[in-house]
Amino acid sequence: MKLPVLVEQPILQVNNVNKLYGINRGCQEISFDLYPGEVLGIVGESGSGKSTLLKSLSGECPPEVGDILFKALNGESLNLYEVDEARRRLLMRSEFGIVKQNPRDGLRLSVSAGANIGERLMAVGNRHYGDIRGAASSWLQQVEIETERMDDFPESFSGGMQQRLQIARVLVTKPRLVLMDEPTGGLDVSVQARLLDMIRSLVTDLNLSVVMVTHDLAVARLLCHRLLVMQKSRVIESGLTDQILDDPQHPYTQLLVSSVLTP
Amino acid sequence: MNIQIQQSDFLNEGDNIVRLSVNNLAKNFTMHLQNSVVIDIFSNLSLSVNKGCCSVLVGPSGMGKSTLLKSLYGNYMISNGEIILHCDDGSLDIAKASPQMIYALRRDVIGYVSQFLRVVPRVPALDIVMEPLLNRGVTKAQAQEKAKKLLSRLNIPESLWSLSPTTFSGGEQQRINIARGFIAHYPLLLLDEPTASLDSNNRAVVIELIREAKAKGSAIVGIFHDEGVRDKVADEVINLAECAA
Repeated sequence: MKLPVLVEQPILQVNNVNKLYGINRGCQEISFDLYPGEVLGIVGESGSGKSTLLKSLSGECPPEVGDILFKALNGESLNLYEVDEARRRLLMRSEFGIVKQNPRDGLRLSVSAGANIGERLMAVGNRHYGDIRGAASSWLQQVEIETERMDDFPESFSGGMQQRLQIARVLVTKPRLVLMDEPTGGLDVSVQARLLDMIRSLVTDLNLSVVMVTHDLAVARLLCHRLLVMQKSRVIESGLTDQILDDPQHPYTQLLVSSVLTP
Repeated sequence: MNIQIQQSDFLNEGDNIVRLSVNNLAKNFTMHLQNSVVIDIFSNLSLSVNKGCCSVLVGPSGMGKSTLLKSLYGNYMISNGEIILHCDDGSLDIAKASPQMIYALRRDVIGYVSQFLRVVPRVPALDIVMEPLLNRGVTKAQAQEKAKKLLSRLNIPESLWSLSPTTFSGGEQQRINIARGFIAHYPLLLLDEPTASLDSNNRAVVIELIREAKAKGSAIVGIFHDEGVRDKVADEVINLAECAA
């Protein structure tokens, strides 16, 4: 029996990132690596800096200090905020995916469901109408939306369907890194369950790397391999999900874990 | 990611190869929400487990048997000491391994049958059992065939295979847990009361599974309150009260 050898390089390296809006508001001294196929959860209470960190990771909000290195498909290590604007935007459209908490913020409500998916393909250069429509149809099926709804507008979809449509829109360009901000926030429990199951299979089937902000520890346990626990802008504990939740070390983590209700 | 691999000689005890060495292990819990009271579970714990052998942990409840297994699995963080895994090409301290290494170890090397099945709702029993093989790259068809055979062996009726274990009885849930733990070969296997909720037929199946794992070279660390089972599988009995200084 041989020792397992880890050969993978991180897909994302975050080094000492700071983005503060005031004393301990925002995020500071954030460093971590993310490997291909890993789901990293960022948990913590409101105001702990989770969304600020996610915005820096997604290319939307440059940090004041520190850098974010992304390993592109060709093996190049790209400093997210040192590449030019055009390159960064292309990355954000093709290799990154961002799933927003409120699907209406991540969808274009003025175009049909199919177009929401298809236009992402067009933005990275696809031009064949038949192929684009075919891809849109296949993705609708993957996220369990009836393909008959392809030409309907997202306004007519339920919250859960909108969220699933957003996920299809994000995944159609086959990003290797997906950032999710509370993807199941505000959804009914049964809808939430269906969405979580779907995310879970997509992550394994597509070998996605995911950074997921959530305040729900049950979601974290189900989906995440590792967790970063944030409090007042800092990461106060990090490690394997089951270790953090079963043997929390930091007082704040212990408080979080003991506060979870189990039916 | 660099993991220091130390080339070590095989540590021989006669014909036996040591698979796991636990050195001066200590574990305590600090309960910050209860005035930071410190609960000491064990300290200065040392033991070793050989390839192809089953070492059984005994000692009164609260001694730290399950805690030790969870520490070996990387589920609990230890306070002091080392947990050395000896492989053919080097050794590694599990207690200092990175999360990525622990995941790789859990996939390929260290199996764990916990006392209680943590049920992921809506996932069929068959899929739960197949998962360890799928994670190792085995095809779905092969994994499914092996899973079905093992579930039949553990007397889980076919009608239950496509259902989530949430509604199963305690004994049925435990057998799903066991199937998941034995479907793939693990050089180090950790068993926490695997026969607790089982009738005598199923206990016999588990005893066979343990024997087969040993024959394939697995080093097993187990907790069995049932003395009948213990007598049939144990090559060594480790009393926690005696190995902690």
